[in-house]
Amino acid sequence: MTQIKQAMVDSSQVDSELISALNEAGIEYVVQDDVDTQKHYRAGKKNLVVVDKKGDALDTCATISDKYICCNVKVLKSVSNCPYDCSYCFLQNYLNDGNTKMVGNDKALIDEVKETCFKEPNRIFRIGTWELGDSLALERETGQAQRLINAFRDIPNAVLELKTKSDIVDPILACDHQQKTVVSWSLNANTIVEKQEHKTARLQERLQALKKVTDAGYLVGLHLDPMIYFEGWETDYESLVRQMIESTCSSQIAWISLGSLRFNPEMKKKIEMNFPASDITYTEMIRGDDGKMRYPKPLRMRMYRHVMDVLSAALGYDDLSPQTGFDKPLFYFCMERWDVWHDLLGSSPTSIQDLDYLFAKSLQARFFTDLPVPNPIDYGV
Amino acid sequence: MNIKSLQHCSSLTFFPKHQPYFEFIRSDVTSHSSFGYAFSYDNQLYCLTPFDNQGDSFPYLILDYTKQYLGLDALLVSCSATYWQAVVKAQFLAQAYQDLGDRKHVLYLMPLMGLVAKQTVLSEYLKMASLPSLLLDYAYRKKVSSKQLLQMVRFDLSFLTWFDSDVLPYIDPSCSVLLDLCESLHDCYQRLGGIHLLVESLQFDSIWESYSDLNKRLSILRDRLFKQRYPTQTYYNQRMKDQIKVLDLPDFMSIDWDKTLENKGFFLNVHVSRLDDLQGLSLLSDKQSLFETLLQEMTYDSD
Ligand code: SF4
Repeated sequence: MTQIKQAMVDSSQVDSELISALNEAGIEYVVQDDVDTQKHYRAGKKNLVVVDKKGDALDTCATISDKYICCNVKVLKSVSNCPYDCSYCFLQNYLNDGNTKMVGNDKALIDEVKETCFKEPNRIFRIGTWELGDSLALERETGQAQRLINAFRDIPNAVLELKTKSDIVDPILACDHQQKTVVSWSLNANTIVEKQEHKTARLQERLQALKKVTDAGYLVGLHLDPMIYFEGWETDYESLVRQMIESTCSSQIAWISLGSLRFNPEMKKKIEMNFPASDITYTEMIRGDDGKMRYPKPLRMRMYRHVMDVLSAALGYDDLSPQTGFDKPLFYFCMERWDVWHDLLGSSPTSIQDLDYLFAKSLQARFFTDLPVPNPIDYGV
Repeated sequence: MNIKSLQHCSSLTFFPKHQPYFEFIRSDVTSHSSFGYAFSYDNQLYCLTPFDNQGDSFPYLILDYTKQYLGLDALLVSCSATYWQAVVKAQFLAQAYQDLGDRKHVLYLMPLMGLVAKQTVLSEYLKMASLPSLLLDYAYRKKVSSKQLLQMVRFDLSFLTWFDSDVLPYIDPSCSVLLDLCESLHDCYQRLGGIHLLVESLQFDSIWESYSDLNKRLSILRDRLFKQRYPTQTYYNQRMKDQIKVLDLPDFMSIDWDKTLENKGFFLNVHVSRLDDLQGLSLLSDKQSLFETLLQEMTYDSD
């Protein structure tokens, strides 16, 4: 069943492949320039607006505070807004236009990616399409991920990351990906999926989809983020970790990340208004140095420690640190403090650039041995 | 709004249907004026200006009476409703909605109060008017803005009703403190899962009974509430304090740290005012292992 109620296509995009995909999927659309903006983020979740690329689409996902380590991944803004409705989603406080906008001009997106990657041929770029939406939620209707997978296959020094909470993987299974795409999941404890991640694929459905892409030879990414505190979190997260590792093959796991719930202070009111039944804002939180609300550090560390123990056992690695060898999935924290890295992993990257370099080293050593060994200088380390 | 004539009259009565409106607008309009407003309905003049004019003949500007608005448009103009407090506007609109029964008619009245005639704005004001009575009085007394009132109505009604009857009568906070208090209490109530559990854990009665000073009550309440709302910070900060006690530092040395626990490490403050104080610096090496324990405390690897 389609998640799109109305589709509007900018006249410049009528010849795009995205429109052919819409036609194939039987989605009717109207050609309309200057579609009215939707004030509320929810109002436009079922409106697909196909637009041209405007300005730069490639950006860096970064934190504003140097006290928290970010992984320096690049984000390709190919879609904004998402048919799902997670209670903690930052889009409810971010989007000026609630319409689900997708760039129809794939060629322009790819050209920009190529230009960036070719300028620094010695670097390996990780590029995700998930910053303002879900990478696969609309794949049945738009086919955008398939076209990106095919394009990234031919960019030697770039890896595409498709991050999703869906189970919509069938359309991409037959792609000739050459392991240049990492299909990753944002996974959470079953209680959180059920209570907070509305309209997304249920946990078991996501895990089955993970198994399918593993069988199709893709590299996979696993993001336990945002970890959310609730009574009974320990057993729920334990079971999640075991099931996710069982659903894939560790040699195909490119990376695994942990992160805890965080949001801008204004989001608290938004969440309470948009999701009156949600209880995620009532747990103790502090305001971090980046201005975001998050659990106090002892609580975050307790949650990380617990999950890391289970993860180590499930993967069969005592040491998860990305700095002690490249024979295992690269483990990292998303937007965490240096000392949290240090206290939980024994060491921390020396800079954001250093973490970027560690990613490249890991990818090259494990999957792209025909590429030159990354040199720290190329990453600004 | 047309002025039809100027007439001198004495002892005009209010329009009976306007009576409830004067309950809440009476104190919010200027009571000294050299003229009043009135309108004529069924060959009788009704006063629109809420001041006592029982005495001699007084000049009145006679306005139109519009039936579909029950003359409320004339009432708003004559009472300079744009200057009213947000809470009065809210109560007026709620009463008007009840009397006129049609949101469209109520929307028409909104610009006469300086408000944008939008359904969303009307809904917000109607919600504000549904606050429990003491909170409405409070909002009036403290001149609470519409933005602040909107923050109050975010909380569920059962919580607000309890707050109105069981907390507000015992304290007198400023509006920003009240909002903060509501937020903290509401978070704890939601986390604990019920008002009775919140009451049990914070022991409000013991505060009201032990202290008569309103400020003191407030500060004790906020203190208890902080511990309830931030148990992790309270627990680990107390552990830090206990460790620091063990260090037994001289008066000229003190230790400070980030109480949110985000930033690892501590500041060692040394205030040197006498040469003897410098001798005391050797303490730093004597107590190194205790300082190390303090730092270790900040890895939070034990409960
Ligand atoms: S899947 Fe991601 S983008 Fe979509 S609603 Fe959830 S958090 Fe937001």
